[in-house]
Amino acid sequence: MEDKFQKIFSEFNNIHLSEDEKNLLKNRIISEINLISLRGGLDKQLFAQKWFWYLSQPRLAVSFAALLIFVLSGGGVMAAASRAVPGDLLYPVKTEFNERLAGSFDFSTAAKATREVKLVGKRLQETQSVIAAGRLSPEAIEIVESRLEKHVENIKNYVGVLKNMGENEKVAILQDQLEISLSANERILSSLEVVVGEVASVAPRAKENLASITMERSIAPEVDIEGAPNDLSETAKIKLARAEKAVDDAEILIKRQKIVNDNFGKRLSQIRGELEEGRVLFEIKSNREAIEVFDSVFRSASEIKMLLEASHKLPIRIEFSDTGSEDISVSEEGPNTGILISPVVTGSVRGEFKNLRSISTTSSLRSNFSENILKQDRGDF
Amino acid sequence: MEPLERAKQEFIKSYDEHVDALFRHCFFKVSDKEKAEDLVQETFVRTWKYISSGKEVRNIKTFLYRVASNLIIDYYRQGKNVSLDQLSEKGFDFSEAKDEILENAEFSRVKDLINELSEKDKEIIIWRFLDGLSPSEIADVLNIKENAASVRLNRAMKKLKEKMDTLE
Repeated sequence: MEDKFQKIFSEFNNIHLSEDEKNLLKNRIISEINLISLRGGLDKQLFAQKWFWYLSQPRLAVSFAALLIFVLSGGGVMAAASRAVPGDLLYPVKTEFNERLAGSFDFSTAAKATREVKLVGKRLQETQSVIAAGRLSPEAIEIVESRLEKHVENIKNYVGVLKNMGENEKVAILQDQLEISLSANERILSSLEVVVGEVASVAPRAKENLASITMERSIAPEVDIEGAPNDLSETAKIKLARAEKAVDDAEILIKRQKIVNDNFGKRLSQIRGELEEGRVLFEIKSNREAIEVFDSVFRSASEIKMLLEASHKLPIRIEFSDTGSEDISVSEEGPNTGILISPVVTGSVRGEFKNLRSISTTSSLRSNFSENILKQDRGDF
Repeated sequence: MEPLERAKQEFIKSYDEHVDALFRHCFFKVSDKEKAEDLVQETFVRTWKYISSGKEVRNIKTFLYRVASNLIIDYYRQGKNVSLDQLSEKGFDFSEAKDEILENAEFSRVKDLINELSEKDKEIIIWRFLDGLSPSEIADVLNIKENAASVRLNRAMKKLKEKMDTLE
């Protein structure tokens, strides 16, 4: 019976692509896998040679066009593209060229993964900008979602590589970064939905997307402190230094923002209190507990930094509650005026509505806001 | 040559070895040449992503089939398969899209009979006779024991034969 079937099916061997079609398909696949290598930096040796091949690939024509524009415009277009948001004409230039070019200088897997985590945060901040500007459309959300999907996929791949290399500590740091970024951005996005009523029907989709990304966090395994290499005291010391730096950075940013209502300051004082508790635990050699506290302090201080950034970049005002707890409220602010233009009835993430006192912050869309301020204060310029 | 470059060369070699069979497999499943090409491309790209992330692939042939099968399932789940009638209603001109493959009467007859089988039986028949996978390779794709794959294959063949006998 088997022979009979084989004979019948042998007729189907005639089904195949022509040689030309096969070669074309092969080229498409090679261009894709080279792109993966380029993006992942796994194939550095071929990088220079690839430019010749690069020009012959129609699918990469957009990137090449971007390069051409860069040369012809003396970099003006690329600079303009760096401020583009989903839906803008120059947005593909930003994501397909600017960011990819910048990423090609990250050589280690950990650096590449960190970069992808930062890009996740960037995509979410862009979503906030679009919502706040009243330009949120299904198309813009689709663009953001598709980019987020790619970043998450890349993170998963890098985490896989790091795990294989036994770099559990780096995986844990990545998870921390991703968690902070997702948590802060999710809180802002949830609140924006209340503030910007006209996009209420679309904003939930962004939140839904965030939820799926949050689930992806499980890809990074929790590092078992018991199993961590070196002694716990050494780990605690590193975590303490990291937490201290995050708190100091947050303090510098708060001071430079000149916030009238100092609920950010209250929140930071509370975090400093926690840091002190951690130090005491460290001194009495309760290293495991101290590490937990330092991690929590690091997350909270980093979140403050992200919230301040969003508050600065968007025409919104983000505040912590009077009690200094982690609850936040978001309210609307007039574009580029620094003056509140509507009754300040706001919704917190947890569904509470509060009246907030007026504060003034600028809302210009400057990029790398916090990095610049921190550099100035540290004298890096 | 660097390990990655060597892996890439090997991978491209595997394209030359398996592209015909994979295309046949996808085409048989989706009856759309362009879509079948896209599926083949995506199969290789995803497999490379898997390999380049440092994961191990024991048998590239069966791995490719596993990826292709998952992609085909996704394709149907997403409801992207549009019937020929629906396309005609939308004004799609088949005169330019006609392909000698679609015009092959024997192909259509056997395909119709196979399509009458259950999804599991259909799959195993295609793997064995269209793709030329051995029972042990089928077992690998399905992640079951070789004996179990042979039993399933025999059952499916018996059912297909019964259908063919009724036509003769």
